[in-house]
Amino acid sequence: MNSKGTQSKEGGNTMTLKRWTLTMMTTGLIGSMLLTACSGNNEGKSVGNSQEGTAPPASAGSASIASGGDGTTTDPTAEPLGKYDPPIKLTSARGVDSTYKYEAGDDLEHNVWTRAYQDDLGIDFSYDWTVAAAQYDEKLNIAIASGDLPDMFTVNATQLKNLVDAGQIADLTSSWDQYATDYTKQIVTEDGGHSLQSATFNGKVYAIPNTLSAVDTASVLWVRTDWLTKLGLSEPQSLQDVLTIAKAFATQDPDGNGKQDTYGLAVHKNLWDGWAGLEGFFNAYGAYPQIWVRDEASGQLAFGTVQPAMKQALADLQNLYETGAIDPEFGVKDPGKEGELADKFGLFFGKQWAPISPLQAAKNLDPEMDWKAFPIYDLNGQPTKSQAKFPVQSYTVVRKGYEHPEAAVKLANLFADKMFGPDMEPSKYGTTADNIEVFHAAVAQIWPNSQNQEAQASISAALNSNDPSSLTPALKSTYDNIVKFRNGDNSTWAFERIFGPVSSQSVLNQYLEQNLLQNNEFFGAPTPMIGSKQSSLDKMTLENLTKIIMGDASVDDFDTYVKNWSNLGGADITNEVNEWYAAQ
Amino acid sequence: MKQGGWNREIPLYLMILPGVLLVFVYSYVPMAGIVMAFQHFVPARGWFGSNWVGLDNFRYVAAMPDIVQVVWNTIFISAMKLIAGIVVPITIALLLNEVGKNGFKRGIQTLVYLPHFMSWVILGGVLIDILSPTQGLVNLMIKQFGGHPIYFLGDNSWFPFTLVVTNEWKEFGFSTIVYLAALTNINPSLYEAATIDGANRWKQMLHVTLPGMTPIIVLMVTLSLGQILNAGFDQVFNLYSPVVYESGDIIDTLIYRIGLVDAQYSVSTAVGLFKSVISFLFISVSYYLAYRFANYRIF
Repeated sequence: MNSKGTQSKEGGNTMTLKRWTLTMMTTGLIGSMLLTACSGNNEGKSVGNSQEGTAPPASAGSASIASGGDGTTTDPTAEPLGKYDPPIKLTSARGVDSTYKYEAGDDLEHNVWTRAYQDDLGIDFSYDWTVAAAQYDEKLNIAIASGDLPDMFTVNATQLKNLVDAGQIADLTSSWDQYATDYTKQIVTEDGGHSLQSATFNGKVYAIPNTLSAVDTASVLWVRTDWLTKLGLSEPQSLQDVLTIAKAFATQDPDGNGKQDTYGLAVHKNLWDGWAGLEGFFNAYGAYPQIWVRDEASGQLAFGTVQPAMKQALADLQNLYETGAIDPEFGVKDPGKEGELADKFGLFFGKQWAPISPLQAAKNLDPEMDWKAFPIYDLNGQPTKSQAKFPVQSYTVVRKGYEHPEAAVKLANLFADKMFGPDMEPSKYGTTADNIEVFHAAVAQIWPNSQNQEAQASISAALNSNDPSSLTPALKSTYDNIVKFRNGDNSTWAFERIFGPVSSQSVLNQYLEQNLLQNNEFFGAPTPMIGSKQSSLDKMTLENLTKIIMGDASVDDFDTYVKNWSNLGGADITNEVNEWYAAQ
Repeated sequence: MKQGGWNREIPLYLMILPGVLLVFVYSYVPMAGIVMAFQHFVPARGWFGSNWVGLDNFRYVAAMPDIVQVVWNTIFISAMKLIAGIVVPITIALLLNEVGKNGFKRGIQTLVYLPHFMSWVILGGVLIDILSPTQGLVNLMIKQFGGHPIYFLGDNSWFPFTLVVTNEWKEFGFSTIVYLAALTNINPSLYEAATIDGANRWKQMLHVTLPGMTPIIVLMVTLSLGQILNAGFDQVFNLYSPVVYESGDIIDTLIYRIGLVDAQYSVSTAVGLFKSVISFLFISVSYYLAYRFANYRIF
C-alpha cells in the first residue's frame, strides 16, 4: 500500500499517462469482449430455437420406417455407408449450447457419434472452431468473409444463397444422387420435396437440408389448470373464454397470497418464438405473422404481419395489457427473463416443449401447479389453423475444393440409420437411459416430420394398457418417466405434459389429423430485398406492435405502420416473393 | 556523449515497440478495409474482385428511414455521458482528497471502483430487476415517498437518462482514480504557501487544486470528445428493447444489425467510416481548443 502511494507521487505525470493508456487498452479490450458476449444474452431465445430445431428428449425413434428403404443394403458401386480406408480427415464448425451434456469422459469431439464416424465411416472428425450457439451466425459470417472455411458446416438460408452466389461451396448433386440412401431421401423429401428444393439452385443441389419436424414448431395454448379450479372457471372453449380467463387470473388473486401480482398472458419482448411467442394468439384471429400466406382473393402470397386480420388481435392484446393481464414490463424482458415469472402467469401460447423450460423449474418449487395444453380456437370456438415453420431452418454444406464432398451425405445417412433406420440404436445415439441427449453431438442431422407425434401415440397406448413391451428403448425411458411422475415424483412432470395422453403432443396430433397447420408458403432463397431490408423492417414491426399493445399507440396506427412497411421495402419484397411464387 | 544518450534511450524504444506494433496491426492495417465502403463487397471475391459502386452505400444509409433519429440519439446520449463523465469523477476526487483518513479514502475508492469490472450482460439483467416499475427497489422507494412509479427502461423520455446514470454509476470510480492520481502530483508546498497567505480549504481547492488538475482535465476532455459518436454499444445493446428503439437506438447498434446480423459488410463499413470522419473532426477541433485555451499540447 505504502510503497504504491509514494510511487505514484513520485511517478507524477508519467504515472497518470500510463494509467490512461491502461484505461484505454482495457476499455478497448472489454469492449470487444462484450461485443461477442452480449449476443449470448439471447441465449434464452436460442435455447428455444435449438430445441425447436431438434426435438425434446426421448423423442428419438419412430415406428414408421417400415416403408423406408433398407439403409444398409449397399450398392457395391455407391456404398452410401461405406468406410473410407485409409481414413479421411473432415473438419467442421458449430454452435454449442450450454445445455448440451455428454456421457462420462466424453466431450464434443469425443463421443458416440465421433467414434461412429471413425469406426463405421472412416472419417476422422474434428472441429476448426466452436462458439456459443447464439453467436454462430455472426462467427460464421466472419469466417465466410475471410474465406477461411471448415470442410463441412451448417448455414442458414441467407448464408446458403450468398455462398452459392459466391461459388464458395461444392455442388453436391452427384454426391446426393449417388450416395444418399433411399431412407435419407425419404426423410428429406417427406414434405413433398420443398425442403430439397430450397437447397437447389439452377437445378443443382448445394446442401443437405437439415429437416426437422414442422408440426413441432406450431403453437398450442397452455393454461394453468390449478388456478382454473381455484377460481371456479371452466376450461376454455373459445378465444373469448381465453380472454376472460386471462383477466380473471390477473385480477382475482389465483395464487391466494393477497397481492395483485399475477398475470394472465405471458408475452416477451421478441413477441415471436421462444416458449411464449404470440403467433398462436394471432392465429386465433386468422392472422399469421412473420410467414407468407396465400391470399385466396388475389392468388398471391402476402406477408402475414401486415394483414388486416392483425388489427382485432392487437386491439384485444391492448385491452389485456390495460387490465393488467399482461406483465407491464414484457417490453424489456427477453424470453429467459420473462420465464423467471413462470409461477406468476396462467396462460400462454407456446411451444410443445414449454413444460421442460420454464415450467418444470416452477413446478419443482410449487407442486400444486399444473398446466394443460389446448388446441387454438377462434373467438367463436371453432378450431383454427396454427402456423408452422418451414421444416428446414439450416443446411449442411461442403466447402468447394474439399476432396470428399460425398462424406456429408454419408454422415446424414449414418444419422438417419442410427436414429431411425432398421438398425437404429436410439438409446445409444439419441437419448441415453440417463436422459443424456447425445444426439446433439451429431452433424448433418435430418429428422422425420411427425416422429414426436407418433411417439406420443405409442406412449399413450402403452400407458392405457400398462404394457410398455412394444416400446423402443427411448420411448420406454419416456414412459418410465411418466410412470415415475404418476407415482408422485414431480421432477418428471414435464414428460406427462408433453407425451402423456393429454399433452402438447396430443394437441399436435390433433392438428395433423384435422389438417390444422398453416405452412409458410415462401421457402425460396432470401430475395435481394429481404437481404438488405429485412432487419430494418423487423425492427419497425417490433417497435410498432409493442407500442400498440402497450397503448402508446392506437390500434389505428397499425394502418400507418402497414403503409410505412410497404414503402420502406415491404412492397418490393412482396413483389420478389411473388415472382418466385409464380415460377413454382 | 551523444552515443551515451542514444544507448540510454534504446530500452525506452524497445518498451514502446509492442504498443506501436499493436496499434499498427490492429488500427492501421485494417484501414485498408475502408475500400469496402465504396464497393459492393462480396467476401469470396475480396477487395480486388468486388464491384466499385462509388457513393451508393452512403446514399443507401442516408435514405434509411431511422438514420436521423439514430445519429441524434447517439450524440444526445454520448454528450450527456461526456458531461457526467467529467463532472462526477472530478467532484468525487476533490471530495476524497479532502478526506483525512487514508483507510476510509481507500475503502471508498475501492468500493466505487468495483462496478467497473462487471459486464453489461450481467448488469443488464440486474438493472431490469432493480428498475422494474412493479417490483424494483428504486420504484418501491419512489412509491414510499408518494411518487408514481417510473418505467426507466421502457419510457422513451427516461431511457436516455437511465443510460447516462447507470453508465456513470458503473464507470465513475475508474475515472476518479485518474483524477486522484493527478491530485497527488500537486506540489505540497503550494498548499503550505496558500495556508500562510490565509486561504481556507475552499480557497485552496479553487486556487491550488483545480488549476493543478487543469492539464489532466483538458486531456481527458480532449480524448473523450473523439468518442462523441460512441454512445456505448454494450450498455445500450443489453438494455434497449423495441419499446425504446425511438430514443435508444444508436449508430453502433445499427452497424451491428446491418453488419453482423444482415452481413451487409459494405453498408456497415460506410456507416463506420462516416463515424470515424466525424470523430476525427471532433478530436481535431478539441485539440485546437485545448491548445488555444489551456495551452495544452499532447504532441
